[in-house]
Amino acid sequence: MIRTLNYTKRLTLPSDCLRIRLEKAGENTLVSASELRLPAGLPPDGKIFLEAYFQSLFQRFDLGTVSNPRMPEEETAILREFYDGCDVQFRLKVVDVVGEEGRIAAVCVRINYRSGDDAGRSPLIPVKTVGNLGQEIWRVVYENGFILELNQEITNIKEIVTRDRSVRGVILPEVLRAVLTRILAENLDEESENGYAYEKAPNWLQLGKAFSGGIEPPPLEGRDADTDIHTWVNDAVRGFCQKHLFRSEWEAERESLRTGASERGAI
Amino acid sequence: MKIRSMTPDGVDAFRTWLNGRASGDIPAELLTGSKETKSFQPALEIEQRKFTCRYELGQYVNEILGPVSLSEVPRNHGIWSWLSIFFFDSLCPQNPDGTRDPRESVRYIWDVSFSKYYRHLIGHTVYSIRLYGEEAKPLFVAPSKRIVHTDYCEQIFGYQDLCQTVSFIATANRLYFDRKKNQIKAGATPNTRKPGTVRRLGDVFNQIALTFDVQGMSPEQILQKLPQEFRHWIN
Repeated sequence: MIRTLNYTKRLTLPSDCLRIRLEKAGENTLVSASELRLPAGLPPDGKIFLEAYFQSLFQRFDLGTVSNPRMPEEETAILREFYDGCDVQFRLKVVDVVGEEGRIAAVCVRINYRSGDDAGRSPLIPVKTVGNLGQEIWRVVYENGFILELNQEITNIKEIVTRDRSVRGVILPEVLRAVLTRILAENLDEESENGYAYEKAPNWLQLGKAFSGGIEPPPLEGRDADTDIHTWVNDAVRGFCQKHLFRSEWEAERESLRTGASERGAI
Repeated sequence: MKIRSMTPDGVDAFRTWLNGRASGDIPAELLTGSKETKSFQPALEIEQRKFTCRYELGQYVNEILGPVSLSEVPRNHGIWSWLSIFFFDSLCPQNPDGTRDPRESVRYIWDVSFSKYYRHLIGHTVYSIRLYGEEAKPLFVAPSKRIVHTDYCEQIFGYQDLCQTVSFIATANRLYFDRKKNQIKAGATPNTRKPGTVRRLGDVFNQIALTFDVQGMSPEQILQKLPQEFRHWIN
C-alpha cells in the first residue's frame, strides 16, 4: 500500500541503476562504478552523487551531471575511513540544482554491489564474524538489513555454524524466528514509494509461508503481536526444522561422536 | 607509556573485571600483560592527564593517534579497550572507599552494533572528531565536568542515517548548544517528542532529507526550512 506523499515527483531508481564493484588495491578499497542507467526526463544539469555509508561513516562521490556523467577516477575512487568488515552500503541521488536548490529529483536508496571476494550473490542474511562479543557466540542485528554476527574469537565459527549438523539445528531456527518476528512486529514489510521498509522482507515472508504450509503471514493492518505473529512464526520455524530434520541430524551427530569416543576408548 | 592493543583474552578479562564492579586498582596485566595485550604499530607514546570532559579526552587521544587512519583502527580493534583501561581512573574514578561505579561495558569495550557503537567513551569521540571536526564538541561536553555519555549524544546518534550528515549535527548544535555556557541548553533532550526538541528535530530532518539533498546544504539553509516549533531555540 502506498502511504507516503510525493509532491515533488521524486523518482525511485532501481537497485541496479549503477553497477558497483569494490576492489582491493594494496591497502585501499576502490569503488569501481559503471553502466549508469537513468530514466528520461531528469534535469540535464542535475548533479549525480554516489554515497557510501555505514552507521555514522559517510563518503560522497561526484558522478557529474545527468547530461555529462563521469565515473570516479582511480585516485578519487578510494573508499576512505570505512574499515574491513563494515557493512558499507551505497545509494545514488540525482539533485536538481537549477530549479529549487538541492531538490532530490531521483534516488536509489540501496544499490546492489559486488566485492572482489563474492560472486555477486545477495544472501538473505549476511553472516559476519565480529569482535567484542565476549561470551556471546552469535546474535542477529539489524543494520539496514539483518546480519548474523558470529564471535570471531571462535576458530572456524562461520564454518561450524553453517556446516556442523549439531550446531546449525540449534542456531538457525532461532535466527529465522528472530527475523520473522521482527519483520512483522516492526512492520518492516510495509511498502512505500521507495520500496519495502526492509527490501528483503517479502523474501523472508515468502520463505516463512513455504515453511508454514502455505499460510499467508498476518496482514499489516491489525495484526497482533501476541497471537497472530507468534502463531505464524512458530508454524514457520516448526516447518523449517521439519524440512531440515534438525533433531534427527543432531541425534545422528551425537551418536557418531559417542561411537567415535567408544572406539577411541577401546584402543 | 607506549600504546598497546588488548587481545581477545584481555578483553574477556577486562569484561570480567567490569562485571565484578571494577573495584580497587586497575589490574596491571590488563595494561601490560603478555597474554592480555600486545604491542601496537606505529609505536606511540601516551601519558596520563586530567580531563574535564569527554571531548578533551577525545582530542588528546586523536592528537596522539594522528598518524593512524580510522581504517587501521576499526571499532573492534583492541586498541580502544586498551585506551579505556589506560584512562579508566578518568572514565570511572574510584570512590573514597576504593569501589567504583562502572556503567554498561559498551562504554569501555566497543560494541559495534548500530544501537550501541556510539556509547564508547573514547573510540566514538575520536571517530566523531575526525568526521565532524569542531561540530563534535557539543556532543561530548557536560556541565558535570566528568567524562560521560550525554543524553544529547544518545539522541543524536539514535538517528543512524542522519548522523552521517554533518549538517544535521551542525544544525542541532546551532539550536541546542549554548556556546557561552559550553553546554546543551536545558530542556533540549527530553525522552518525549516534545515540539522543538532533539527527537523532533530528527523526525523533521528525516522528512526534509526525503525531498532535499541535506548533505549539500549548510546549517543555515536547513534552519530556514524548519517549522516554527524550533524558532525559540535559535541563538
